[in-house]
Amino acid sequence: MTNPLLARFIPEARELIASSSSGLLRLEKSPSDADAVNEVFRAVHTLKGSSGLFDVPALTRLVHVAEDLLGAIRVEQLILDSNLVDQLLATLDQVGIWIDQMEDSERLSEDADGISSSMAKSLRSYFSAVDQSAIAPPQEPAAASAADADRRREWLCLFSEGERLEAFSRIAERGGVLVHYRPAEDCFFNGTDPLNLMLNAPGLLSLAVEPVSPFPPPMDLDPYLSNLSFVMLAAGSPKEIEHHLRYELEHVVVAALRPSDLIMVSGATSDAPVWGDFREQAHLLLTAGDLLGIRPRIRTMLELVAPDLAAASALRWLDALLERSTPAPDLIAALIDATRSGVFVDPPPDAALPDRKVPPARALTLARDILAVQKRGLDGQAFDEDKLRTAAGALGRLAQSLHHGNMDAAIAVAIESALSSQSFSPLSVVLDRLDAALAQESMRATAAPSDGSNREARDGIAEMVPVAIASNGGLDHVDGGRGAAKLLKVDQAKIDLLMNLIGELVVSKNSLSFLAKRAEDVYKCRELGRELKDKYAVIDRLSQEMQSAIMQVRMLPVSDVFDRFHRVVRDVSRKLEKEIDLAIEGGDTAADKTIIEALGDPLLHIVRNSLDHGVELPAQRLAAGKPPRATITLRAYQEADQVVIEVGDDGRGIDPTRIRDVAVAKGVINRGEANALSDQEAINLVFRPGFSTAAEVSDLSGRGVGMDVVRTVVEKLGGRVTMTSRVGEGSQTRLMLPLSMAVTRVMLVEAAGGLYGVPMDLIVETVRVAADRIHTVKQAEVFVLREQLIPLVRMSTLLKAAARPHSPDEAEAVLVCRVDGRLVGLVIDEFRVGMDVVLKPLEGIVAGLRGFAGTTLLGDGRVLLVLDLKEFL
Amino acid sequence: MKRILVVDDSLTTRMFYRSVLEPAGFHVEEASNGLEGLEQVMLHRFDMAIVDVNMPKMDGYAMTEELRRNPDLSALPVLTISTEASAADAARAYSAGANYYLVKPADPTDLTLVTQMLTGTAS
Repeated sequence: MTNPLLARFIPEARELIASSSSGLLRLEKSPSDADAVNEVFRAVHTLKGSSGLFDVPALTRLVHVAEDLLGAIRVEQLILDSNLVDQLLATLDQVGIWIDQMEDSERLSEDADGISSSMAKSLRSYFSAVDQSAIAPPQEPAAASAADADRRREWLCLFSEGERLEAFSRIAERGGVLVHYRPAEDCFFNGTDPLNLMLNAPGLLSLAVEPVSPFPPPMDLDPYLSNLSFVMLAAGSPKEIEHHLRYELEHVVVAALRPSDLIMVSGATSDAPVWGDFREQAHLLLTAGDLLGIRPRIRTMLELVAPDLAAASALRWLDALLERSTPAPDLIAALIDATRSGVFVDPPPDAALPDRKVPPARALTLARDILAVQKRGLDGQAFDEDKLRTAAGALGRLAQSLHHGNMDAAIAVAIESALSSQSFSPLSVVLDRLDAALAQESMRATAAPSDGSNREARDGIAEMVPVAIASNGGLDHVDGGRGAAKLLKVDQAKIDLLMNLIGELVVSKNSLSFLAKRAEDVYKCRELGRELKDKYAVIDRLSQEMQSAIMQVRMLPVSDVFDRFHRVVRDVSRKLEKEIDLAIEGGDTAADKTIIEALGDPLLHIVRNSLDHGVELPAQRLAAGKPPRATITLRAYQEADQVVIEVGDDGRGIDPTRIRDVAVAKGVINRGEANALSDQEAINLVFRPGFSTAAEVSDLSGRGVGMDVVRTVVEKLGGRVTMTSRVGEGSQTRLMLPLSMAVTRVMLVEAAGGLYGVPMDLIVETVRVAADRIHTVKQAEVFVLREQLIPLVRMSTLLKAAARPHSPDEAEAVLVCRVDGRLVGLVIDEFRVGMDVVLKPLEGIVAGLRGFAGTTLLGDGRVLLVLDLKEFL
Repeated sequence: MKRILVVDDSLTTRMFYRSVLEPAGFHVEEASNGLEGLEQVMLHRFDMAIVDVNMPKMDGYAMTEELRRNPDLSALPVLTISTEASAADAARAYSAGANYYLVKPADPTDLTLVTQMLTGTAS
């Protein structure tokens, strides 16, 4: 993905979707949970806000409608029921799909707009009972392109010159928009009130209403269909208007207006000689810069000529233009010429300016707005020195920013006199003065955008932004701030790389101790040897701390996987018409990311088994004397260096007899074997490949993924899975997993003249067995350990190598291991130390070699082979 | 270099502000909710705070009010940013003590200009 902002947004969006989904589920259970409402609302709100940074209007629109619904729920205008929850969840799902698309291609699929509209429509239908005006969606800026210019002109013609003249001064101050709105014919049925909507628009200056097509004779008129279109002139920015019309945006065209757009000269042309004189003088005065001198001449001419002449119209505009301030000479010249031609041609410089770039007018508009805000904070407020200083500071900085540096003295004086008179008014006066100065500048800037170096400077800013985004890659910007970012999202690959490097460091630091030994033994330099050892101790400690720190980074709470099950349990139980609660315990138990991520599928399978086969229908439960609502429990806790995850239900449990029958029927075992099995062993049959207890393959589980797959996945992670069950009381599946995958603890053993590693988690204990305690049963060696018969396997035999010769009265070193639930005694030559190693899988031509879990480097540079006992035995 | 504290619960949004303000010559620090933001402005010197309205733990209004209560911070320029272009929200922000109010998604140019004006940086 080339856009780092998007790369950051995607995981955030997914989190927000997840947290709002789980919040919704909580809310469904306890609708009065104000925290849950707020949480969901906030998550959706944030999602909307962030999505607005990207060009995905379909997504933003839909999320906004969802937010509005939630807002209504929050203020209790709307009641949340299961259907609405379904709808909202479906919406979140759809947003999730779009997020996937954005990740793949940085944009939405082509059908997104359609989907968005139809989903938004069905969501909005929940509002039918609610006041329409309370609802609000986002906007898609409908940029006016040059091609629309004609249409715009047509719409502008709907306003009289008087209306336009009046609008002119307002728009020159604040900027303006032209809005065309043609409501859908059936809009009245959606609760839309187009006229009211228009009349309440912010900054409304003028409104024109027209029939779309000529009204038919009254007999044929359908009063329930809208046949109107509206054109509106309003002061303000397109954003404000679009926000106001957010629900109707598909029917609206909003175009930003420059004041000069309003200038239209109309009327009959006449070219009396007197006009020539006027034009000559006016041009002369204009060149001389004496704009004040032109005005009296305009007045005189206006009194002389008929008002319906085009020339008179041009004069009125000229007057309006000059009345405000000092407009662009080009504009004035164009209007002067219009007195002859009757046609006003807007001089081009404005049009050449792309919308995106900032005219200095924008800066001035903002500055004046900021001033207005500060002023409002003072007017009519009780005097307060802190407030005074806040406002004075803001004023001073603003002036400084706009190069009105000479305000400093005035502000200082104002503060003093404000303090002595205990009133804000001296500062207000300064404020007004700056505002007036800015107003002047604003007028100049709007009318003459072609002059001024300011604009170039600001264009520079506008262009720098995308560049900055493009070069703003990776981590450096996020953690550049000192301690401010409390949460950091990092690509997993980077962490993995770091972990591998630290692993290498841990291993290579071992060579220091060998070096120290060599310094002493070989080079006879004890001093150096000791110093090396000291340094080794320091590096050893540091690298171990580093290692445990990086492991902590990789740890995630199991709630990351658990939380999705709220949704699964809810959806599936609704589908199956069962009543099931999900209880989660120990969600904050942490484990390595790899493990957490790999857990999803096995857990899903186990939970679905419980949902589908374990839990009975409410009626059956009642008949069995149980409460109709069943509970599925997900529990996690840490036990020594393992994470234990339990999935339990209080359903019907597993019937060992039935398991035996099914196993025999499926040919997993024969009848004789089946009968010999204990009940627990029978239950364990579910882990055998090809076994599935579902008599019929249901929609949910039994899609060919049985418990044997669960077992395979869990064992691949270095864990174990067991299942217990009592008929009628429910069943429980236990997954035991290592906390971390990164470092394996192995025991070094000597066998057949070599050094091997055995994973510590398999070792139960180490014992020395005297030769006379070893018995032979059917050619197999066994020994008795605490009244348990344990088979013995000689490592040298397994390795097909000669054992180290040893005298018969010497006791044998035996490593007692648990492999696939059975104890095995491994006869080796000698025990050595236990150590933490970073396992590297076998690669290249030895990759296919079975019986070895991997290799690791020892401190002296030797390669240690770590055994995979399950394969080996 | 002027130091700006950006307080928003969305990492994406914070990063967006950073991508706009850093090229414009500002130093940007981040906080992810009002409480953290308050902690930051009390611990370090800032020239301005950009505060999202809707945040967990402590929202932007509360943070601004809290900050104004502190005499040392009463003059710190505060720009509040919200997704709502509503007069009521703006009024609430102002009565809490904000210096200005922008609507999300803030236009990069507006954001830069307002930041410059509130910090007294020449544009």
